[in-house]
Amino acid sequence: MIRCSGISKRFGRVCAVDELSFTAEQGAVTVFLGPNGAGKTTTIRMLLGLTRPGSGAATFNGVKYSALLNPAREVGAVLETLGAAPAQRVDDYLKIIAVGAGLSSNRVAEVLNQVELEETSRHRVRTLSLGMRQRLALAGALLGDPAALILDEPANGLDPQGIRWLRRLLRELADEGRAILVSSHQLAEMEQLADAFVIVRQGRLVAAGSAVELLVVHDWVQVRSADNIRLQQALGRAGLDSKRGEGDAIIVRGDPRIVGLVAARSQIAVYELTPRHESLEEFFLGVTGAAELPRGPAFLRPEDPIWQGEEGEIP
Amino acid sequence: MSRILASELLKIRAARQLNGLLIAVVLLVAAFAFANHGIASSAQGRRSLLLFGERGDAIAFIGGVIGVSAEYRDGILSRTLLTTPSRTRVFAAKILVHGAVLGLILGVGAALSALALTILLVPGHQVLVLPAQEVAQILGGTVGDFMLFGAMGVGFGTFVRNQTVAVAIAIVWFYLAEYLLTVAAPSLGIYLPGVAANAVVGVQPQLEDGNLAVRAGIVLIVYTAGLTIAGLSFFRNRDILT
Repeated sequence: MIRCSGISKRFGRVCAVDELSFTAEQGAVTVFLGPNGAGKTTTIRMLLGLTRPGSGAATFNGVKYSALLNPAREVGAVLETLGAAPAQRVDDYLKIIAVGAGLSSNRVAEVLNQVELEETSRHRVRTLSLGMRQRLALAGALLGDPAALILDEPANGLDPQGIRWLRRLLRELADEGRAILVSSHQLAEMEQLADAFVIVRQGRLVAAGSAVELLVVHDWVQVRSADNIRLQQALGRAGLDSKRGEGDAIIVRGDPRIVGLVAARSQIAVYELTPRHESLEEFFLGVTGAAELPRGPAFLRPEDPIWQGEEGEIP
Repeated sequence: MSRILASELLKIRAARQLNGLLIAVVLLVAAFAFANHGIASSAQGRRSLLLFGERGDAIAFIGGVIGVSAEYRDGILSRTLLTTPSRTRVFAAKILVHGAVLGLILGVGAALSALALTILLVPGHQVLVLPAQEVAQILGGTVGDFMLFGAMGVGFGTFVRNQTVAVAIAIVWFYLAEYLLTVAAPSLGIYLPGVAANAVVGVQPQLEDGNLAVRAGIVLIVYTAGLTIAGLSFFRNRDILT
């Protein structure tokens, strides 16, 4: 399990990461999202011991990266830069890692095959496309067959087939029981892959949880009613945020069944009740401060006790 | 420690960095030798030709600088630290491989180039008439200089991450600034690394100071130790951001 516990980092006056805590569980792909400058790369570098946290701790199964006995066997990492001299050959790049980690040189051919770069093994790094470099970096991360993977923007430079390949590979690796933490801007692709999300803004955690919790709970509903003002008041009392939408519609964040119940109990005729699934992109833009959609502090479900009151009683 | 040493040696071979530096050393020694080929007719001249091997020690320094600064530039250092998180071990391996081993290879290359050029340029290609002990001091001192300069370069490269700036500073210092400082303040001479290196190989035998080479060697070792300790301290505590 990958865990950050209250890690912070300042660069001069700039607070890059502020008391950030999250976990990435074994057997799951945890997608690490945030706008540019949100502190994702700094967090990843703190996890890997390359940047020292001002406070807090980053651990792998309770052990700091610097204290791991053989880190390449326990954690694989893809950083923003490949970390190879331009004149190096592809297989030499991997041999250097393998030798340094005390791994068998047979692993070089195996991982090259795994990332589908076996035919470029004698190519020089400078001749590789960006997508090939990403595959090579991934090969380097997989050399030690580690139990955890940390990948900083691994989809950069990959074409659609490459992204699909990456998604499938990461799914397989997670299904084998690995903890995978991926930072990415490829929101649509990550939505299909993620088991959990960690979303940061300005170095702070703004949302974290399983994909089901975050994306389903944050669905919204478009409503048209006979009395929008009264309905909005009733929704507000029920803890549901709403705002005016297009035309005479209002937009409510929450489960449509709850919205319907509130309207019924308030005896307001509803003409339209259209559930809308919020995409990861919409959710991401919302929680990172760029969305038009309303944000509610509480999201009620029909099974919540508050709905078990007397008939006609509006919470 | 053996793993990181093997890994660093493989890096040098894989990046073809050694080939380029070796060619630069041979060309520099050859340039000095051919520019002064007229002196080959005298015994002192032959001695001077042999000493030109030592003039390439700045390239060993640059090799050490590149060994670290190129790693910052290309993000190789991060990759290395992922495999070997102990910064002390990584730095020690760099001192040994990019400093001492690279310096040894370049020093041997420079010494052999100087020897070959001396034989080539002496009229009639006569066998050297210099005493064997003197030849040994010159060639052995050249190799030792290169090794210490390589290690110094690693320490220096840890401070100055920008490779171009680091190399420019090295060239200006060793080929211009030291000369000007020596002219301005001759008493400084032996305490400057380039001048100390000259003394180690015996550039100033006319001083007839038997301890000069030893004192110069100590000066070089102090420089190397100082830059190594400072470099390690810096390397252990800095954030690696690329």
